[in-house]
Amino acid sequence: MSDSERKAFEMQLRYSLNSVMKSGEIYFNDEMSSYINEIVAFLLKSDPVLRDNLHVYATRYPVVNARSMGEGTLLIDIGLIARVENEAQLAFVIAHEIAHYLRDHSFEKFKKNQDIRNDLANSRESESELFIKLMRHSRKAELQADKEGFLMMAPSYPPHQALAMLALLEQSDRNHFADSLNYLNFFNSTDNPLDSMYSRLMKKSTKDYQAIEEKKKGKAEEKKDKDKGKDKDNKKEGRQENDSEEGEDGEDDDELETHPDIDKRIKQLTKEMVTLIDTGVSLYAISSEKFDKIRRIARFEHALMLSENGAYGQSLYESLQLLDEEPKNQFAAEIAGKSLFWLCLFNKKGDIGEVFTERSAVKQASYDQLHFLISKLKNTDDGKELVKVSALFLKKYSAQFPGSEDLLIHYGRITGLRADGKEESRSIYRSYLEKFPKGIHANFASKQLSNGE
Amino acid sequence: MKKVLLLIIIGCLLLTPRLFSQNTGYMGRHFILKTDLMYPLFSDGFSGELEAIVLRRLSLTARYTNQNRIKRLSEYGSGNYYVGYQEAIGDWKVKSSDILLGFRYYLEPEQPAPKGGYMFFNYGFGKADFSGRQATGSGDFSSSNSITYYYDVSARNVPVNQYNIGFGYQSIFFRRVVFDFSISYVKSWLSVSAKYESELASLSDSYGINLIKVLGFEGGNYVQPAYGINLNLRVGVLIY
Amino acid sequence: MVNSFLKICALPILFAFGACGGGLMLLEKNQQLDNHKESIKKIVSLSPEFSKYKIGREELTISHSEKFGKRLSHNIKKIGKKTGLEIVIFDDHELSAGDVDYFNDIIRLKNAIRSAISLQSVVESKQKGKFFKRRFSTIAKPKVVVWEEAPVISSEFSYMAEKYGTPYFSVQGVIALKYPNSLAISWLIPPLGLLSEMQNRHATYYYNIVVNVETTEVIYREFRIMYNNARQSNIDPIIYDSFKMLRK
Repeated sequence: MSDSERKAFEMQLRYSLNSVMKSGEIYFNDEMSSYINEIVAFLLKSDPVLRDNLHVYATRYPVVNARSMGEGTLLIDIGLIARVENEAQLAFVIAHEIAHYLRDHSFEKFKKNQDIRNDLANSRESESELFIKLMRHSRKAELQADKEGFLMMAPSYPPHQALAMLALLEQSDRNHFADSLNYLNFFNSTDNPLDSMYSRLMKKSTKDYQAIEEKKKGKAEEKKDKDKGKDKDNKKEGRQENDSEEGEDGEDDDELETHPDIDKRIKQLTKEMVTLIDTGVSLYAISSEKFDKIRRIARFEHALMLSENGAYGQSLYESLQLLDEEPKNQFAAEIAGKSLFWLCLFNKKGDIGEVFTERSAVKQASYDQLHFLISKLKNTDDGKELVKVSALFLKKYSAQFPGSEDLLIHYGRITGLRADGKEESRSIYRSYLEKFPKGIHANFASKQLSNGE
Repeated sequence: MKKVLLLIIIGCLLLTPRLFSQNTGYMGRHFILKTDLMYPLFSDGFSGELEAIVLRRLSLTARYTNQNRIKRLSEYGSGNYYVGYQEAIGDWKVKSSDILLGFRYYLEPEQPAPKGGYMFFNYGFGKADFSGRQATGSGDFSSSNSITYYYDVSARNVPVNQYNIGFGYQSIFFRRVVFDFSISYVKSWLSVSAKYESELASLSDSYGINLIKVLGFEGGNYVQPAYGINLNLRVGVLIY
Repeated sequence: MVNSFLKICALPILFAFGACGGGLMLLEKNQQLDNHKESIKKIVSLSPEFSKYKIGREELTISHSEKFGKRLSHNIKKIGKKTGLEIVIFDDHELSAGDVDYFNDIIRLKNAIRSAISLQSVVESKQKGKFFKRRFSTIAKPKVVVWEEAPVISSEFSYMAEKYGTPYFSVQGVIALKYPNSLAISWLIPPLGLLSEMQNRHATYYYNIVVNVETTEVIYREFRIMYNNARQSNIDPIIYDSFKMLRK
């Protein structure tokens, strides 16, 4: 490596780090980061120097991912913390990222990027070909980090949890909740009964969802047969089967995914595991109670972050799931209420396509059902049905949680979206100001009242 | 009358910039004082200009120029071998002073005047004093039978007019210093009485550095307008 | 004579046309601001950004961004004072451990504004009799698009009006781009080459978005493209003009 390349890398790294640290997406002095750092200390108890070089943070990104910045900063995304099933899986992820740091993979990737940029400038290959090259290079690094991370984690935690973690990554587009939610529990009311519409809708959605699953199954089997044929041809021509080092085996369909080639990674780790015996170590080296608490925090934060990032469909889904699990949880009700308000607002503006994702966003039947329900409501009576149902939801939960500023103010705002709701919303703002004269929404409520006069 | 008109125009220049709220000028400054570097270099003269930004993309300009030039005519007048009438020859001294009034329209929508590219139009009027030599005679100069008489002629306060139309670009540095480059098409003409018509026939000139002249093309012959492509490079300062 | 004249004219006219940058200005306001029912005296600027990019060789000139970022913040404040606006700047250049407000308030609001602008569309006001004004930039006034429905943010930021002494918060910044010089041939004709050097290799983008946290509406949005170098003497008048447009 040349000095100038290293210098350029460090400059870019410093800039990226500076941007990330000041972006507001990092949790500072929080319980999640502190718990993660306890795991790091445990994993590296025999290497305190390495431990001191690392700075590990939880981030607000609602994705199932983690990354090593290159100079010792490791970032674990809240989507991943919400997804893991136990401490051992989290430890594997941390060990994987530490391995990236030890192998200086960030710098390698930077150098590869530069080479690819030069190739692009000289037009030796097309942009997509070069991008795929970069992805293949990244994959090599991932396999190496898997192996070394596994060896770091295996003595302290059950080794097979590493495989379980990889399998979880493969399923990262499905979330962690149970796949049965009765939305009537939330949206049905005597003022606006939805029973008959809902049952018709659910039948249809389940049928449609099953049809989609069947179609996908069929495609997957077709692909398997095709690959078997390819492998046979490769063998005939003397090529290596599953040449994961070079990535030349033609299995490039998932190249552009966040976690490509999980199958290969699982296969590699399985080979490593053959030599290791499960010594019966616990899934939790720190504390299972602490893990449960941290994961619970992460799940709520994940739903909140989805709503702050404009993924209102998903945030509504997750918050309803949380509310279903914990019916007395005000925070879950607030996230759901907020998501409903924004869905109604965007629908009114005609921008709902920007924030309400397609059915394939979360591959679960219960998400599809929510999607069907919301789609039906937003298309009924020019979106007024959605506003009506959402307002009733907010009314119900603001009564259930009288101490919640968010629920009351969003009830006021959503009522204001109705053409005939101005007076009612003004009275809600008045009652908000009476209850919370110094609340965070107080200035807004006062302004709405003064504008109306 | 012309002086009154001039005073009115200058008064307007001073007042109007503040009248329109969308006219922000350059950091709140609406007046620029400039001088043209070409005049001292090529005309032994001086040019001073006041530009006032009156609207968001419009400015008015008032320029005073003063030149002392030597107008070189060939020994044969304007190339005509037949000197059957009085004709100016040799070096003529031309001393002129002009006032040009005009406007500029700034072309760039994202920044208000006075920065950026612009189109402009000026109309000028002034007076010129000419003094030089005139030849008169009959027959062909090359003929041995011709007789040529030379005598000095001067004409004072000859009205001259011109207009310029062109494009330019104005940049501002260090918040105050203005560089203004422009290129324009110029047409100028003399208003002469019959007494001086023939002497001054060749003296109608285009002002400034005339690319046409530089490239070897002459403009104007009799008492007709002269044409030119002028280059101007002005330096100035933003004031109030 | 005419042919010669045209031949001679063509070159300088092309030259002069090259002087025109052909930039862009897009100015949008909500109805309250346009009708002067809102009057802005103080704005909190949320971490103004300056990014400088060189296209073709390195991706980002980092050191210049930091330096210019600090200068931009300083200049915004100074220019605000000149235009009669009190500008309070919260930026990330010198954060200390006690600067929790930056993370709890400033950056959250900044992200919320950006999200609102990127996800929500606007509805233009159909004001009668103002066809020309709304569609064309004139000699006296720039084109202004007035919103009937503006993008909105959450009302949870309305407490910041009291905390910071003003309900107006802005997100603004400058992006400077430098392109590789592909017009090398223009140097065969020095004036064209000089103009090309001055003009076509640079593009500077300026944006300014102002939100009223009490009404939760985005009240003003401005975007300009200038084909000039991102020098102080080019950016400062744009900021000055922007603040003046905001107040009028």
